[in-house]
Amino acid sequence: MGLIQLTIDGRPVQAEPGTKILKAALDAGIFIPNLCYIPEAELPFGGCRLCYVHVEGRGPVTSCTQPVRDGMVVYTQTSEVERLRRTAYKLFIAYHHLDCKSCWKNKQCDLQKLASKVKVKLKRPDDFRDLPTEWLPLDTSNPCLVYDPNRCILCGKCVWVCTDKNGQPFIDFAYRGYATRMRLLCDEPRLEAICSPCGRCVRVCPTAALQATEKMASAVPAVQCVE
Amino acid sequence: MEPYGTVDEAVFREKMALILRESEKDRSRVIPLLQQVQETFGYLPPQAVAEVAAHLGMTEVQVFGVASFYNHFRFTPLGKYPIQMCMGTACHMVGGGLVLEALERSLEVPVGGITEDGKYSLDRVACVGCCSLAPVMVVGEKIHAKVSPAKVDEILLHIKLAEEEAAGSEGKQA
Repeated sequence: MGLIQLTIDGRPVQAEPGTKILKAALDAGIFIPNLCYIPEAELPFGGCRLCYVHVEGRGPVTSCTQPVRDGMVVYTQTSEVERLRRTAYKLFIAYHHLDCKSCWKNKQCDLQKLASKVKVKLKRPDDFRDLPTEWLPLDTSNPCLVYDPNRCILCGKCVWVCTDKNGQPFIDFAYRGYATRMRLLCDEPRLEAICSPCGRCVRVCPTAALQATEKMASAVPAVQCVE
Repeated sequence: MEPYGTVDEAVFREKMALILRESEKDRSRVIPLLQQVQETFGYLPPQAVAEVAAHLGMTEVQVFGVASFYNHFRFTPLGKYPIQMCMGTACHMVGGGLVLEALERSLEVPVGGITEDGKYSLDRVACVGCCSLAPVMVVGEKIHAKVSPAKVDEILLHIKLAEEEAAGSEGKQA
């Protein structure tokens, strides 16, 4: 089968059959905001809702889940999809510990970097101002990691990389709805044997939610340790 | 079902082994297995979650993720007197919330908690199916109809007195 021809923002783009719009666009140098997208992943997570694009004749779709079709006409910057992205982004920061200046991931944070792209100010959105701001305690149950639920956006990237490396995740979603957060494997005696610190989850985390402890940093020099 | 409290280590091992022996080692069995564990112990002890995970070849966090997703599963033991406060529409409308608050105050535990002596556990449920009696509070199998915040202490006192009486007559027999 030949390459599929589509148009993104008026530019002709070619892609392999089965490619998702997001990948085709990024490969062609057209930026679409995204936080949960993993290029190597077979199935898209589709949870961040930032990669909305407008497909002519179909309306807004998440570009990470939509395969390319011949003759498809895609717009990445209509007012409609920009509004959808802004709403999704606001939901991320509604309960986010927005103390960026003193955050250790300041200026390296994907969530922070996207703010200007989706045109949202990095402060608690007005719509959510009256909600309570009780911060949850840090999870230090795994000796290699510190998990900050207040900075986690639940993108699931850590689960994917951990599954990719170990065949099974040692970090996974727990609870439901507003209470959803990540849970780390914390059974220490067995931990040594199964969760050998590789630091992938820390590196893939788009925000400051996962942090390496000294224990991990000493085992994996590539991981920055911030205490 | 074990009536209340945490289970003795040896009993736990034995019952867990029995549950796991009968189950296929297939991850589609995770929910039925957890249900069986909860039926046996009244809740999901952390050790049981770990053993179910090991049996099915999953990780603990995966099993915990499934279990914590459903309201059906609980991670704290049931009290000797499990109290359920109905928060269905009818009970909610006629002041069920106030009764629940009164229960929290009297027992000094939050919803989903258990008192330190392991006697009372407090939960909210969505409709027990007798809305004409709203607000309804269920203690064990017994349904208390048309409760009010003022009645909460009365009901708790009755339970306490009944228990003391039972303990007293047992003492006499012995």
